Amino acid sequence: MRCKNDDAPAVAINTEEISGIVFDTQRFSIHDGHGIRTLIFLKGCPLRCEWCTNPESQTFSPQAGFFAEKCSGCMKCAPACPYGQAFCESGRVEWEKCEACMNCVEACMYEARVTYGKRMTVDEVMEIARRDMVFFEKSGGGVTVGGGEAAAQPAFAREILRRCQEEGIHTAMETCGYAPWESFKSVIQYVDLLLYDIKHMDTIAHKAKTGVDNRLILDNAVKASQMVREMIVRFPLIPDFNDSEENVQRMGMFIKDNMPGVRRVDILRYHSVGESKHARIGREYLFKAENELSDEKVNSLKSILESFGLHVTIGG
Amino acid sequence: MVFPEAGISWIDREIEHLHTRPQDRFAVDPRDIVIFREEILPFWKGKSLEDILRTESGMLIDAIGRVVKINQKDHAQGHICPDTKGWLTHGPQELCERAKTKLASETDEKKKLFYRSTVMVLDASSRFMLRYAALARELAKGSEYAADLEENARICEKLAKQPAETFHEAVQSLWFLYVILHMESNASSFSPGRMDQYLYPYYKRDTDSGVLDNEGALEIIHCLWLKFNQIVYLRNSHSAKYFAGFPIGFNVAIGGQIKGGVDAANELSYIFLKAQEDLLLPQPNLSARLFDGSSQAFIEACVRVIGKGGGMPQIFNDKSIIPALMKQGISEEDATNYAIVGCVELTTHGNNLGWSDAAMFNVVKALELAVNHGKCLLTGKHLGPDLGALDDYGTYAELEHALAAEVDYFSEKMIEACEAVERIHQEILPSPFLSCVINDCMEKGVDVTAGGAQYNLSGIQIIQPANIADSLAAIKKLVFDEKRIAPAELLQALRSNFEDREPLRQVLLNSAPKYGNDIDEVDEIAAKWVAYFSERLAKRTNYRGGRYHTGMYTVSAHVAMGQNVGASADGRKSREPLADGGMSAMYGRDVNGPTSLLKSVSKLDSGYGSNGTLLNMKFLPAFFKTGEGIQKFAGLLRAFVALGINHVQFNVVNKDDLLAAQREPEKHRNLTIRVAGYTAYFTELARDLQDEIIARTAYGDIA
Repeated sequence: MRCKNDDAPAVAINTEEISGIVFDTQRFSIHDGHGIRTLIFLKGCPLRCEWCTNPESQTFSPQAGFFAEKCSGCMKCAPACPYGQAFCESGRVEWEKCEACMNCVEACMYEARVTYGKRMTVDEVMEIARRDMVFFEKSGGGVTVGGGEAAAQPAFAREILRRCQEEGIHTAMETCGYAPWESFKSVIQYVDLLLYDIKHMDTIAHKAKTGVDNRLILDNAVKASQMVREMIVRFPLIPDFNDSEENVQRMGMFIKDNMPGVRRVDILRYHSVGESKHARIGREYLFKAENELSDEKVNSLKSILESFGLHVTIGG
Repeated sequence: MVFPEAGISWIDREIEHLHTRPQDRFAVDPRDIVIFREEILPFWKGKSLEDILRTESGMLIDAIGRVVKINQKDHAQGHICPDTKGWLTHGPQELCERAKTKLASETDEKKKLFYRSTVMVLDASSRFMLRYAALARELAKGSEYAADLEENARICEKLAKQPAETFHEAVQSLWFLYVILHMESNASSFSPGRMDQYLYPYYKRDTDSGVLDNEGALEIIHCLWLKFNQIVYLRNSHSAKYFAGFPIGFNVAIGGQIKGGVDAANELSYIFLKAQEDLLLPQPNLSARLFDGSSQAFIEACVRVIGKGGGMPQIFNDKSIIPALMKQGISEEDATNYAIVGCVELTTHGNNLGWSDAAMFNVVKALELAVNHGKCLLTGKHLGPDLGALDDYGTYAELEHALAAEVDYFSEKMIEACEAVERIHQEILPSPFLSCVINDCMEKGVDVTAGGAQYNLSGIQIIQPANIADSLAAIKKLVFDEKRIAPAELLQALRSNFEDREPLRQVLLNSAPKYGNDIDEVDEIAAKWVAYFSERLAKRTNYRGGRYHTGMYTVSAHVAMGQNVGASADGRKSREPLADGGMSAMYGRDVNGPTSLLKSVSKLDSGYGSNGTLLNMKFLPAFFKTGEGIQKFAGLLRAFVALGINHVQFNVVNKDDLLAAQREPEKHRNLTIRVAGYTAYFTELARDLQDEIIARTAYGDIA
């Protein structure tokens, strides 16, 4: 699909009214940091991982999505669309014509047409965060900023994290680490817990499946580990991509040698949930795996990481 | 066992169908049917509570039946927490002596009659225990369990004359009390209450002296737990729909606090949790009381048992319940020592006839009448006052005014019916044995049904905040504020049960805020109507001279009560169930997760739930599998305490839930599943992924 401003990070307007594009918020998250947390997913990511489970988070501007199974075929969306022909047939969308005006989302009565992403101010985000204050306090939880890639909207992410800390809310951030160091540093200075993705140790393999080089990511990982209070490495385990023993050996070694503060690695097992989600935004799911990830394999890779003195969880 | 003095006509109507009826079947011996028809029925016909009430107030009860369900029409009240501690301390013999002394000095004829009856039942209780002793001795002959049976015989014999001294004796004595209470009244929910408190001195003495260890105590508790499952209460088929699944309501409370905010949890609290974990049976109904000072160890022990999936222990909140009870005129000491009877009904220990299931008031039905000239959408019959219809009201305020009028009208009628029920209970079902273990009946010489208890509350349930809030919020926003839907169009849609108006129903469902998502504008509507109903009722006095107060729970009545309600403006179709529980959101509409639901619920004043409230929540089994998960769950419970919600109980999602979500996605939109480091709504996953997750749950491994 064609999207305006694709891949262009949102720019802060001024310090008073900093805003950004949020793709989702999720209260009661129990898997992304300590305690009970509220997740703020910022939209837009510099990577294009083929297996991405949230493809609707990749572009930087709001976009339309379509749940074919919810569509009743009432055709109320058709006249609302400036490119009416996009809906000439029920249950079908011609994505290349979509300009993301969202008129069809307004017109839909069945929630089959949705908007992914909306502009929010930091104040609006904080209003959501504060709602679960009592749960943060009682469970040792807080706010986790994720994405897309949070560091790709640095001013917005930084201001959310800073404000949370100011209000006594524990902060965490999920990141792929792909951002210029100075900008990245300015964001993570307000992070209590950093959840840092490392996908592949090999530069060429990394670029082939994610679209970017891994050198910046690994450099930032080392620097960040010396800076933040607590850091956990997250390892999305993708069959036929990064599940070789050699890759995992290298990763364990890298963490042990270069990131002494890091004690824990969370393995996130591949799941094909991304496939149907790609279809909802009119994108093709390119990822194909020949082999499945067996429990034995996952456990043996876990042992390799453990041999470097790391505490390893599966799930995360 | 039939109790013809309470109800006879319904048994006459149903006795042949008890073994085939859809809910809670009972096997009946054909020879018993003959005895019933030839001997019992001819004598009792027209003399029972059921028949007399029907003759005197049947018309009234039927006339309001679609809005108000009046309870206890053909059985005793039950729902009471007797003074078990007093029973253990004194035993039947000593209580009997006390009654005799009272009788000797009493001059009032009515009171003499009362004391005479208590002497009779207490004397009979001692003899009853002796029969057990004789039987045990008989069974001991040549048995491999001879030693155990001899010991049982010794205990039964002793308890007939003396109070209990050891832990084993105390538990046996307790069980005798509950068996006899069930023999006197056919009622459910005689609840032992805080067993971990009043049994503790016996446990402590025995373990200190070395005659008992924790294993021995656990074995005795296992046996008691099994016993709690042996008494089954026969309800009529209508009542069985409202209270489905053979509920008997041996509610046992553990933990909480004692005077001065001291943590009450002790070794027995943990032994009870262990027994629950080992047996996972429906009874007892195990309830854990929590407060700010509950230890982390106790909360986590509760969470581990909750994770087993039996729905127990359910959780009660001292922080909100103690003040709620004190608002009803209960002393701080009694309120601090509160217990739970039946499912979730709140009571003091041993001195309150709470009459907690007096009636259920269906405010959703009242709203239906308010939008439709006081006429029932299902039958077209005039039931309530005609203040107009939705298309007559120029403003939302006028609609609210009409709803208030319907509520007032039916409240008045309800109180009239409740008084009739209580009056006939006094005449037909005096309960001398129960009166021996409820203070101050013996002191006053007044039967418990006649107001002998220290506290005499009557509880009315408000049904159902979620549907009231969702319906009114949809009307307010879409009809009056935004004018997206014409009043006549909505009314027509409701009358036709949304026939050919599915898009309109979708707008009602998707374009108006829903209770359970921490959205103030809709949550406040629920809070407002709960307050309105409760405040009006609080001004009234019941037949025993006590107060009316309110609760928010339905057990399974949300299904039966939903069958009485036509299509509603929240997008619910005609005759479909109302929201479950009492405080819960409508199925699948709480899509912002459990913290939002708890926040929404916390906006309803817990003080209006002094008769008890019920909130159901569901979690994935994976939550309970790691120490970290258990800690997080404990954090959730501490937040629940801080939010001041009276009650919550937890189910664990299983395979059937997921299959149901596939079949009816609309009702399960709140179900989230963890996939690959990402949490997704189950109903939004592609079908093949759903199937895969369902297949995984076969191994109890959904994440």
